[in-house]
Amino acid sequence: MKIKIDGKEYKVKGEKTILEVCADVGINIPNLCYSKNLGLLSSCRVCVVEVEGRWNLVPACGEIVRAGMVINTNSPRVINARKTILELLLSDHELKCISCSRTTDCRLKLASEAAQCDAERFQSNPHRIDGATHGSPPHTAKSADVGRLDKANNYVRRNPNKCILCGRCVKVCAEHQEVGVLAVNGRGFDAHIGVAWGNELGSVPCITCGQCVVNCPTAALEETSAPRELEGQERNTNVEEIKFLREKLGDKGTHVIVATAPSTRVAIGEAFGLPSGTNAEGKMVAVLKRLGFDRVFDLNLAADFTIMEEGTELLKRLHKMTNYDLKTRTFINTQFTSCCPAWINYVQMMHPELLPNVSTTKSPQQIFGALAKTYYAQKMGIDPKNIFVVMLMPCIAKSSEANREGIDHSKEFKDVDMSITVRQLSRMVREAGIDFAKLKNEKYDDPLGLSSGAGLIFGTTGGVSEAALRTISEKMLCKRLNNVNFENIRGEQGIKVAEIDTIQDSHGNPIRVAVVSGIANAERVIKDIKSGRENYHFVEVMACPGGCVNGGGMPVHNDIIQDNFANARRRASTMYNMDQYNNLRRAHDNPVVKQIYKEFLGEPNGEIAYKLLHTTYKPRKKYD
Amino acid sequence: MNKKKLEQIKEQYKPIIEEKRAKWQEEHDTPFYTRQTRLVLRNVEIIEPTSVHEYIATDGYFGFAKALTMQPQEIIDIVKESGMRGRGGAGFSTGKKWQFVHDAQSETKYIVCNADEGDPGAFMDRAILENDPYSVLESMTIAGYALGAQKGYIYCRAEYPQAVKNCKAAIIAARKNRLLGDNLFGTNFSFNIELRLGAGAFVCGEETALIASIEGKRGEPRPRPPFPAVSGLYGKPTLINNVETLSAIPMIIFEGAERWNKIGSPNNAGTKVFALAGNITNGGLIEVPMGITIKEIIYEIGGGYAEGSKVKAVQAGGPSGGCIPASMFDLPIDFDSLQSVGSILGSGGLVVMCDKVCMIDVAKFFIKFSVDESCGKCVPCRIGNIKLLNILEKITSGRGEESDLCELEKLSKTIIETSLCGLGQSSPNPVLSTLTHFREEYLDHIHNRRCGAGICRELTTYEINEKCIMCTACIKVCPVDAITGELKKPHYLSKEKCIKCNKCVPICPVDAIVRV
Ligand SMILES: Cc1cc2nc3c(=O)[nH]c(=O)nc-3n(C[C@H](O)[C@H](O)[C@H](O)COP(=O)(O)O)c2cc1C
Ligand code: SF4
Ligand code: SF4
Ligand code: SF4
Repeated sequence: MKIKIDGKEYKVKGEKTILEVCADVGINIPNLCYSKNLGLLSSCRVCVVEVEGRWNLVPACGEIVRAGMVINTNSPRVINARKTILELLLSDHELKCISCSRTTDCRLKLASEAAQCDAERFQSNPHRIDGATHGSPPHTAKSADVGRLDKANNYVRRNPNKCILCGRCVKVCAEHQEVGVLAVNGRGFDAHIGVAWGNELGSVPCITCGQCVVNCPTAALEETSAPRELEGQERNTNVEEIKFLREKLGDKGTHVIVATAPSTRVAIGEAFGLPSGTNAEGKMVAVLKRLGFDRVFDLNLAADFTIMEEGTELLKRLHKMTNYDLKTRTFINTQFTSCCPAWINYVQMMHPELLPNVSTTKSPQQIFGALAKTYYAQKMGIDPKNIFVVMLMPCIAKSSEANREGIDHSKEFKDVDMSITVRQLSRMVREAGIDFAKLKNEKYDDPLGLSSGAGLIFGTTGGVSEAALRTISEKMLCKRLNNVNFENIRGEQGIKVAEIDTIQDSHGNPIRVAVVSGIANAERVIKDIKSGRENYHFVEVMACPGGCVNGGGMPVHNDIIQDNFANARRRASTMYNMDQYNNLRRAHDNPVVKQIYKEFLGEPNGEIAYKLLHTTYKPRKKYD
Repeated sequence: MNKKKLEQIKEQYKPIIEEKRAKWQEEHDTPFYTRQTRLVLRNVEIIEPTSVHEYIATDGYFGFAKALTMQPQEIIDIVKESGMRGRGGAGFSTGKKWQFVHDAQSETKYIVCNADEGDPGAFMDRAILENDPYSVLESMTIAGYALGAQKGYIYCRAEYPQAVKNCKAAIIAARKNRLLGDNLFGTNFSFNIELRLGAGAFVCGEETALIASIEGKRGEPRPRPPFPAVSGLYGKPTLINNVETLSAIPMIIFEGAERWNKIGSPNNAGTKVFALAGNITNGGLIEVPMGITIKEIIYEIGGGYAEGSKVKAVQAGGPSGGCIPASMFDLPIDFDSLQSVGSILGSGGLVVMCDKVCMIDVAKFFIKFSVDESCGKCVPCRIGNIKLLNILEKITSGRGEESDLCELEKLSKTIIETSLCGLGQSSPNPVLSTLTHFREEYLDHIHNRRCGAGICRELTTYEINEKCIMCTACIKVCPVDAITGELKKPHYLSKEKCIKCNKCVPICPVDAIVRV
């Protein structure tokens, strides 16, 4: 069909919105609330355009183009309306762009700058807590309500004064995660994003996955690392946390090491203008060294250890049947993965009955921390108290994991001292004035620098299972597989199910594996198991849809049509490529892994391994 | 129930109704009533609201009985021919809407009656539901048959306890008499109605917000299309009609389209119920043919203005409507004429305003309503309206500049053009219509820092004039001792001390304290 945009005729095929068609032909219509992954919100109205024959202006995000449509995207009427709407938003916004963590990637700021807005055109109005009217109950305003910072949750901080009420966070929390702790409260000008019953985020079962944060177009939602040394202090802003880390790096008496999570290397380049999915491993190592880290290690190595431990654990369970026992309300023998901390938070709060079935193997982050403060400290002859272990993560919940009760192997110090997101690192890089794209590739340090492709693909949904299956299959068959690619559990679908012929349970049946990402999907799988519709030997769960490649700590894109899934897809595909071309594709082949077991740990699931590489879980209260 | 039984009941109860009707007419023999054309309100105050027999005696359920003998399309054609336009505000052709729902392919469809009536001052739907609930039930059942729906919902605001009570009773009685339920009149058509209570949010009257609310979600509008006729309640094709719209349908089906379309003005068939209020001798609910002029309503039905006042304007359509100046009182009242002068028919509020009313204050009142009642979802409505209020407040407090008027107009236009739902799209109407028709009042506030009506506190001062009888009544009530004097000695009012609390004005027995 033919349509006309700004006086020029275009041919269009298929069902597309005005926003999409315009983006295709190079007209970027600014928008704040639209995300391809979330469905239509149509709340910000910034993307309005003129359509001939319509009395009002039409939001481009929701309007499907029809044959013969005549669209105007830059008439004075359109530009004025867009500008006015942005100016309305700015009038009540805590406009502190210079010190704002989102200053380089805030959709509101970018759109307002482009529209040359006058932030002072409208008089600002204080938000009224007691503005309830017309029979609605008075707001049950606790401290987290209108206009007040919500610092109660240590890892996700809300600032309602920077919120534009686009509704993305509410939607992602309710629909992708089915956690549903965010909601629009109040009405009229008093409408605001709140937590159930006017509570704070810290007193409801928020799993700190950070999906709300990566979907927030402004800095109304931010991650915080909450390192223990800053506890109790007026901390929490990203600026202060970065300052804290910078001072550690500058302290001669502290040996600061960092390990980089699998998915970070394929995403960090995006924060500096490289295309999404670029493999920037070498540059990332280089930049960490420039920033003053004493050693830069690869977390993939720890992922290899996770496989050794978790795989051994699974092999033990495979001797029995799996199902859900209605009488005792327990899961028989299904093993759930443990490497996603948001998932663990979810189980602890919402499904404590599942805790016995969660693998006791620590996540790569915590395995690394434990090895760093024991094996590595001994080897280097450094007092573990003087080692400061930093994790570079695609994730916000990793900070909560580092602080989880009972996670550390020793009472004297933490195994992981601080976990930062890719976004936080990119802020440090910018602060230091380093031109990331110009850096020359550098290599990880020894002795914790060698890792397998199996450890790498941990960063995407299905990767943990594939890595585990490679190792278990070969152990069970006692021979090497020609092809270690398990294609049927790859891809971004929320639930993938596979029967693995190479591995059998004690009855000789092939084992059934479910690979799940997104808590809403996890909930479905749990229901399936409980109702007896399905049974699985092994269930991998990643809280973020698509896995860590779409983690809550990943760089935010300002593509005109926001599509986090597409970025995640590109990141995942780069990782599979890197794995394919790695000579080392099995965790159990990794010579460093073998050596450390031999020198230090003994056997997988052995005594020392249990002490250092395994943990236990306690149920947690949902509400405080 | 069947046709024969209906006739028996009608036969039996007709004398009672006739007697009641005659009595009512005798008691209401004033122009306020005789000048009205009461079709929708035909049974109000006459029949016992919850008595299904009395309703049947007024030809009730004969429309439904007739409908069952017809093809669905024939029924829809009658509704189309009647020229009925929705009374919920937008005036969309009811026949067309029925056709859309009829044409939508689905096993499951719903009929929803919108009884959320949230405009301040409107109470026509309430009167109908309280006094004649069966007319709505019958109408929804006819719609169910014609459009292929099996279930209906009445969404009624919880602040109408009597309406809720009577509706409930009527639904129970209709079920008992097999006027609702399975296999009605021995056919294979089944229909049920459920009552749902709204939480008292104005925006829940908007159809997509109403659907969300019935589904148990936050009452927030969503973008259309898809329209409810295609994807409504639980994603199924849904007919949403207003109470008043529905209430007229049984009569139209039973007596034919002419019953409706021979009344009214071109393109605006039938009657409309208004809530007449304000500065008028006789106020209340009135039902008049479309196309009647404002003058006729005010003088012939309303009995003219209340004594001693000069009328200035009529506000029609509530928070989405506008003010019509006295110079335009020859205007016929219908959907199209009102829209042409920047007002709307809306749900039918008509407030007569005299010269003691400040038009900017009126605009402020309605904008304040929208600021509080907007759902808060979209930016122009949530934030735009409060900015309009800021500017109006600036003007009424004596800080206005002429450029503010330009800003009011520009901002209003953006809010209207870019808001998601009808609330935001019409909320600036009270500002725009007063700006158009009463601009000099705005300019008076801005240039002369003067409020002619003496309403805007910051712009008025209090004075004691020569009518004063020196009784000290005012001195006793003034909380800040701004008035000085003694019995039988002249009283003085200090403008510096006066806090404009207005306590003294009503106390003065001779109206000697004036605001200027
Ligand atoms: C903000 C807003 C409030 C509304 N409130 C009502 C209401 O209280 N009652 C009503 O019948 N329609 C109301 N409407 C109109 C409905 O959306 C819908 O158009 C109407 O119920 C359709 O019925 P009709 O075709 O019979 O008029 C409202 C619309 C808006 C935008
Ligand atoms: S959220 Fe955006 S607009 Fe607001 S202060 Fe931060 S950068 Fe500026
Ligand atoms: S917190 Fe962020 S994502 Fe949530 S509504 Fe506000 S601006 Fe949108
Ligand atoms: S116009 Fe107002 S009431 Fe309607 S969706 Fe927008 S904010 Fe809500």
